[in-house]
Amino acid sequence: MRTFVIGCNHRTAPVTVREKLAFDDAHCAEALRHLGEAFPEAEGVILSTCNRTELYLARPVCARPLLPEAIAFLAEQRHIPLHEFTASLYQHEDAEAVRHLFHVVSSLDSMVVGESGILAQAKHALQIARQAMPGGEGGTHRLDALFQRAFAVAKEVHTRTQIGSGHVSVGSIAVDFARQIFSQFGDKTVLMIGAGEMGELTLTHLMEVGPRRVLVTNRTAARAEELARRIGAEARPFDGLIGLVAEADIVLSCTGSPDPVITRERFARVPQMRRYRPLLMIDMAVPRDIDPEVGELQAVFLYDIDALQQVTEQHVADRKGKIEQSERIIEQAVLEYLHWQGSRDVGPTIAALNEHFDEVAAAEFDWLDPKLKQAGEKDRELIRQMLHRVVKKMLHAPTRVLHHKAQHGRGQIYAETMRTLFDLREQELPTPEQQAADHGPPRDGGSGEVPSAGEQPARRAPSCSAFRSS
Amino acid sequence: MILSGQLVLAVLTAVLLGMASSAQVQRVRYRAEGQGHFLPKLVAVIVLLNALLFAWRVQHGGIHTAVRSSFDLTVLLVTMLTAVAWFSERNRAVLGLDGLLLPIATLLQIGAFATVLHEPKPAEAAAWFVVHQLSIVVGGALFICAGLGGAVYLLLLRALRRRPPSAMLGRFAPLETWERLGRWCTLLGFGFFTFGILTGICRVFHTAELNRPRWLTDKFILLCFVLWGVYALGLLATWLVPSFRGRRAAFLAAGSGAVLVGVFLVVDYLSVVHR
Repeated sequence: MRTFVIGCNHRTAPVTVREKLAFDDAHCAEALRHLGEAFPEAEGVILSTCNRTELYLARPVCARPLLPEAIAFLAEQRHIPLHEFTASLYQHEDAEAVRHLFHVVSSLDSMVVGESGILAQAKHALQIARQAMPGGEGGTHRLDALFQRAFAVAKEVHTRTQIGSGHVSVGSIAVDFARQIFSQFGDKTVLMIGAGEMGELTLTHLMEVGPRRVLVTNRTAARAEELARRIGAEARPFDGLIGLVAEADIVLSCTGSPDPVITRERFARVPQMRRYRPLLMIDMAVPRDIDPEVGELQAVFLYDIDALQQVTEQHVADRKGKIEQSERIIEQAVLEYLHWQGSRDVGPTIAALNEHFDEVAAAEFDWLDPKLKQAGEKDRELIRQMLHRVVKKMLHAPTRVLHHKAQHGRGQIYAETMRTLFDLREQELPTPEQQAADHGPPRDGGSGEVPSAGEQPARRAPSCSAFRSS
Repeated sequence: MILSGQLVLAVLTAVLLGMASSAQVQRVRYRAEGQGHFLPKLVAVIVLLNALLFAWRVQHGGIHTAVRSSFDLTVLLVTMLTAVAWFSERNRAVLGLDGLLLPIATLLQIGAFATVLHEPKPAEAAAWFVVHQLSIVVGGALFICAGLGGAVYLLLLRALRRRPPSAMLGRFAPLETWERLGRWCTLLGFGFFTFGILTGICRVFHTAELNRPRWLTDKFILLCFVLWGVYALGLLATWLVPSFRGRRAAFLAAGSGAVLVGVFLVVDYLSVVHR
């Protein structure tokens, strides 16, 4: 089997190209149906997110589409001239394609390394392919095995390296701070000062924790009311700012004021008014809205945009430090997958080869048997054993070569040669369900349906005959 | 007199506690993975072994003898602390408490060996005496939990005020939880401790030791009175002074908890009158 990937991502293509190549679910299903009709032996999965569009293909060695045909197919589906996007495309084959998929699903190739959204997107893409490809779920069994393995690898990478730990957006960091200070939010009040976009974005994150009340205040009352209406909050007059701050548990400030709107003098009575309950203040404005000295007061936790940014950068740096460890896990997984894939490519051929030679030996013995009038049962058994040993020794070298080639991704070419030379019967590849039944429970908590590299499908081929068993 | 089997069990528990504390500290400090399922099981085994040891001691020498023995009372205290640690292993609401409870429990369990050969005085067959001893131990366990809550609060507070403030984020439960834990444990502990002191005074009246005020010179008893006074003032301050919360309350809980552990570890074991 051969595996390909062609596509572009945020590093190779500008957004103007990516948006032209993007598929929504309906287009994706339609394109895959066309792929199945045009190339019946091929399987495809289209992974289309805001940062990438990739077409994964798997097909037998001597089947189509070839890479240029796949690129042309992509252009045709999106109605874009080839020259507009070919320069932005990358293409990987076999081991490189497997490695690329493992990187993508483990989110090492994402714009924000370690984000977990890509895993869900890849699962969704596979689900669409299962439904859209001719033959239903069986129509994607090769790519299904590859993707299931990729999901298991991603899970392993995230669990072992914690590469996704620590948020990397300012809004999420603000929520992290809130969660580290307050144990419950059902009795908390959030106050937003200002009606700017960045503040609104952060407020949206904070609203996810489920505060009891959200208040909005702004110098221009109309803007506060508009924002409050949009997000389901209460608008309050700006005049009573200090009273509002005393009411709130989390204050988010993002005004365009050139001077601080909360000075130490104005704020001095607030802790006492709040009976010294903790107060989280997030100042996202530049210049700052809250006097830094306010943060020195008892039970006040004040963070400005720099503090949030520092944490963000620290998390990004932490994640980058974990890339090397993740790469090692992926490299090992790629080798295991290729080994398993290779065995799966040549296994049926080896089984068929053994069966063929056993049949020849059995036929020759049947020819010889009536002529052995003087021979006793013991002599006949010796002759059977001798024929069996000859067959084994003759097949030892080709079997070894097939296994070796399979491990280097070239198994199927040699397997096809063998089948042609010896006129061997085609054997069907096992379906994922058969594999699961044959190779025991799936790995990694059920997410992977792929057996380990050590398990060799060749052993499950029907063994030969009465001759061998004799 | 301790049986050799009991001694082996105590040593085994101390070793297991040492292992659990070390693993737990590593986990809190480095967010080490891979011991997620192992540790709660280990802590559960420790709780069971210690409970078994205490039950064996009670069965062997009777409850009155057991509550006179520093060793047995410490085993009981450690059992309670490790049970709380086990609970906090399974409950994210008090995430990180076990990382501090287990080392304290280890320290106490090892400290108890210093008294293993002390012969307790003949048992006093009065039910309220058993209650006195148990109340003091339960109160002590609650004060230790409050102290640890205060210590974590101070650690977190420091981490949150640093720039950049992320060092401890996500490793411990929220600040509010620790404050609440400290407040409730102090309140409950104070109740038990007061009850323990009252029953102790009853003993003094009962045995007419008021005429022989030797107990007034006992360090353990005096320190217990001092601690009771400190906790009483602290609770009063929490009630009357609004600003006495957060960092200040945490300081008091952590400091008093440390003194209490010191009292149990050093003074109680060296006390000549009290035992």
